[in-house]
Amino acid sequence: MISHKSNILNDLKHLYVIAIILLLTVIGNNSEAISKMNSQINENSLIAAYIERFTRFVDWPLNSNVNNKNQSFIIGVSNNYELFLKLSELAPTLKIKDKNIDIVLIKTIDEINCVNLLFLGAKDQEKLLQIVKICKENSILTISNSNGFALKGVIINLYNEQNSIKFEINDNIAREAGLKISHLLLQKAKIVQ
Amino acid sequence: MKFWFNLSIRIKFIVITILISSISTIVGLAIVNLFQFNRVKLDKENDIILKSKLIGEYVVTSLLFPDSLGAVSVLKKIDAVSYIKNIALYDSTGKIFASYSKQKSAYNPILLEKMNIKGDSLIYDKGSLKVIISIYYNSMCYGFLYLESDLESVSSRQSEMLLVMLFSLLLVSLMSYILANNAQRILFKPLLKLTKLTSIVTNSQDYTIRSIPKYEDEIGVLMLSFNKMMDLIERTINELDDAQVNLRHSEERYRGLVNNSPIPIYILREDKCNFTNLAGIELLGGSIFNIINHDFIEFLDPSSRKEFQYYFEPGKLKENEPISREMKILKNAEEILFINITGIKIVEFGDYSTVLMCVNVTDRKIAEHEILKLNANLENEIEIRTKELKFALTELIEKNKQLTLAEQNMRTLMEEAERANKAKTEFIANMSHEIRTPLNSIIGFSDILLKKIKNPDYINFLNSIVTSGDALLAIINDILDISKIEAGQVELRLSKVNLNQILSDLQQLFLPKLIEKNVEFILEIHNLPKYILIDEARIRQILMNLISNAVKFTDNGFIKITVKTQILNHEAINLTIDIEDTGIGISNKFLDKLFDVFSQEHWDKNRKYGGTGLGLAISKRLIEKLNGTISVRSDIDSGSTFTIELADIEIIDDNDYNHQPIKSSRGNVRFEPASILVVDDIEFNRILIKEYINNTGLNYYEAQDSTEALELLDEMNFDLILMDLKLPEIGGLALTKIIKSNEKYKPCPILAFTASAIKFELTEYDGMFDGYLVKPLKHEDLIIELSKHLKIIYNHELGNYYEHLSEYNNDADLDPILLNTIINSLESDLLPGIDYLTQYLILGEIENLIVKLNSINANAKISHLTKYSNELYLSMKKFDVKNIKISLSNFNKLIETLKELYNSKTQNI
Repeated sequence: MISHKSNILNDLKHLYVIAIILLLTVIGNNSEAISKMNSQINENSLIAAYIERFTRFVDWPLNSNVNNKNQSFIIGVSNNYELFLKLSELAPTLKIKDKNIDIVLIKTIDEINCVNLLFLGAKDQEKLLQIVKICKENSILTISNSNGFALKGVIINLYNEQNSIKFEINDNIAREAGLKISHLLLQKAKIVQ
Repeated sequence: MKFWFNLSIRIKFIVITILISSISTIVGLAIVNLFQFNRVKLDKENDIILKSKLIGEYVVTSLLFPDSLGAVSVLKKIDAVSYIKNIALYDSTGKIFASYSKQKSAYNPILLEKMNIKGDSLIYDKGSLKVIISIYYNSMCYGFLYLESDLESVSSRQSEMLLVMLFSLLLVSLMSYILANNAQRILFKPLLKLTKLTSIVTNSQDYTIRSIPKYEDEIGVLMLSFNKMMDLIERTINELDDAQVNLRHSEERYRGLVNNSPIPIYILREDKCNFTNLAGIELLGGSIFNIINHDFIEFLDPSSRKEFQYYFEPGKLKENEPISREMKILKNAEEILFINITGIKIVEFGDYSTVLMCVNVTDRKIAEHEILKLNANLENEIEIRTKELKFALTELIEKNKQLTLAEQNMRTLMEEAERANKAKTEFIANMSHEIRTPLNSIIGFSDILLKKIKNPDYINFLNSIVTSGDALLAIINDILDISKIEAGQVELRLSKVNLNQILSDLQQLFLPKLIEKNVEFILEIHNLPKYILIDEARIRQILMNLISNAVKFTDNGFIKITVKTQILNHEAINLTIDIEDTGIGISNKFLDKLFDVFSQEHWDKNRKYGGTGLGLAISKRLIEKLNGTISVRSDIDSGSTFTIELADIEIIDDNDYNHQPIKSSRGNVRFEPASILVVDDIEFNRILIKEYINNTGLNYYEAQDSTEALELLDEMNFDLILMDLKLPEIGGLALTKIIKSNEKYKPCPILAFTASAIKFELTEYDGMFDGYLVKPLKHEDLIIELSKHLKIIYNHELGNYYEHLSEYNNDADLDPILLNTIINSLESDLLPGIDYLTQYLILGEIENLIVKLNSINANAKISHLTKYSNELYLSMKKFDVKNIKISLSNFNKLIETLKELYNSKTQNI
């Protein structure tokens, strides 16, 4: 597991920008690839922003460490390194539930239970049932942007409709995980069972 | 304004009532409506704010997850609210995010930055209400919401309320009119009736009309007051009528009175005669026309005119202050008459008149003149007589001066006589003390020695000393008595006295002598009350003297005492006592000197009979002191009869009889343990008292002077103190005062002990001493005085006997043999002495008898015997001579009773 503190992240942000410029210089005039990469970057920024906004409408159970003011809010990212970088970049400027944010990159299934919020990449589909089980047991809010993930137990799943990002919510799983989702968010989402 | 006040009270009442109710309604409705207007407005504002907030919450997610279409669909919810016309949503930077309008024309939402609005606002603008609120979620502002509402509903509501108000006002005014109109009929009907009644009274002048009040309200009270006023008016009018009639009668009376008055009366107005009566015409002569309208001064003698003007001119007289003057008047302008004119000022209708009343005093004046002449003669006569009286008075004053001088001389002589008498009394008093003190020791010690010495020769010597001492003491006592009587120092001490008892005592006293001489003693008492009020000591002394003389001068025959009484009323008697003897008698020529001092007929026989010759003198003087007389009838060798007559002696009811002090039975008296202190500076007095109280059970203590006495009193308590009055240093009286006033000494009786028989008067020491003893002190006197203050027990045997009185035996268990022995013992040992005891009542022997009875009855405890000796003991203890005699005479009966008892027991066996 790789953990980044906010000052280290600043350095990494610069390195990340330099690396992209170098990559563009090396690859040359491949504009399709650049366009795809830019689109990916914008989408991740949006996801990152949405993740923070979702937390405003979710309440964790009282015994969860989310309600402990002395601990930081931990967001785990699995199989989406770009998002990890994006979140790491934004984390120092944001607060969730009035707490500092730590971003961790999840590599094995054993690392899940220490996070408060877990973003699942498309590659997590193989172990999805196992991950969902662990997340339900540990009141972890699961978010993904892969088709069909909400039906398989992910609580919030983002999807694209008519060029705008929408989201669907599996409220039953959320309740099983002990999480309360505001009706304001629910009335905005597509509810799946 | 005048129009308003002239209106009927009914119309005024209706108008005022309508006005009051209308104004009250307007004010009330105005207040309610004002409140309601505000309420409607506030409700509107609150309603629109609430709706804004609800909509704002639902568009939070649209703002957060940018979705303007979603936002518009939320904003469209205002379709359900009729009065909201336009709505617009702005993001947190104030940029328009979504908007919706019910108006069909294109809607351009306002730009927030142009409105310069910070925070939530309410704006009333051109008939519409504009609301701008911030949209918050979890304390974060996400944007702003703008709503625009029309105010038509508010306006229509206000119009409705105004209409209601106007309608209410109209209704209230109508109701007020109806009610006021009905009320005024109830309220003002009686008042209008009263007004009408007043008009009838005024027009008809009929004061008998009265109103009839139905209720007790103010109008009822007004009607009653009206009736009272009418009563008053009616009464006043009646009284006025009566007064007018009376006035007319009075005037007629007055005219008759004045015209027919014998006193001439003239009424002047401005000096001219205005009116006169018949007497007035007669006084001045002529006819009325010569008087009326003429100056009154013309009728006066010229010598009186100035005086008349001075006193009776108009302005000189005052109302209610009549002035009288004597003046001369001319009758028929010729004859001078003296008249007394009395002038009074009267005021009639503002004008004043002068009333003159004239009395003809001409006759009186002539008489006065005659009297003056006679007076002048009388004065001359008085002057001559006064001179004669003055001369006589001067002579009287001279004689008075001579008398005063003589009186002064007499007073000086009297004072000298009094001084001499006082000196004599002092001398006798001192002498008495000086003689009594040594005599006290002579008699006292001889008395003591008599008990101790056994040698018959010495006993005879001592008896001689005692007899001589007693004789000397008797002489001194007689001399002192006569001195006291002559000095007027004898004061009577009246007390309740049993004269019968005194005579019995005296009989007992002289009995041995009478037996010795074989002279019979007869006591004859008629109707004597038990107790009389008299000086016991003095009557005893008188009777003692007279009986003693009778005994002395009678060698055979009898001595008879006769007491007779004459009852004055149930409170007083006259008392006559005759002392008759068959003695040597008194010669006629000596009878006159019989009661003189130191007179004794048979001086040659004096040696045989003894005596100082003072006894009868003392007796006579004492009887006189008791307001009585003494007389004597006597013949030589036939005997004498002395008669005492005492008048107006008070009888005493015997209910509060006081017991006489216990008499000493010499040799047997014992006191309960007590300590006595004798304070005397003379040693032999102390020794004498110590010997006297030896074996009486008393503890004897002595002190020579006040210092020793006080030391002893500090150390211990005493039950009685015997105090010599002539102590050195502070004296007995002063010491007694110290003891009595000091709380630390136990209160105890103090007896005065003095040799001075004259100076010692109890009144001088009233309240200070509890008793007194006079030197020379006799054993009996001491014991008697002590017995008044200390408790007596007789002797030890008697004491024990008395304690066992209750131990009666049951006679049934009595041994007949023991009883027989007791009866024999009583018959042989005691019975022979009983007659002697009954005759002489020797108390010591009676006590011995009781002791013997007690001893005999010690084992048997026969109840009859115990009862007998108990009764005898109690009688003896009380000195009840009568009961002692009864008990002794019953001794034979006691023996008979015991014999009967014995017989019954032997018969039973």
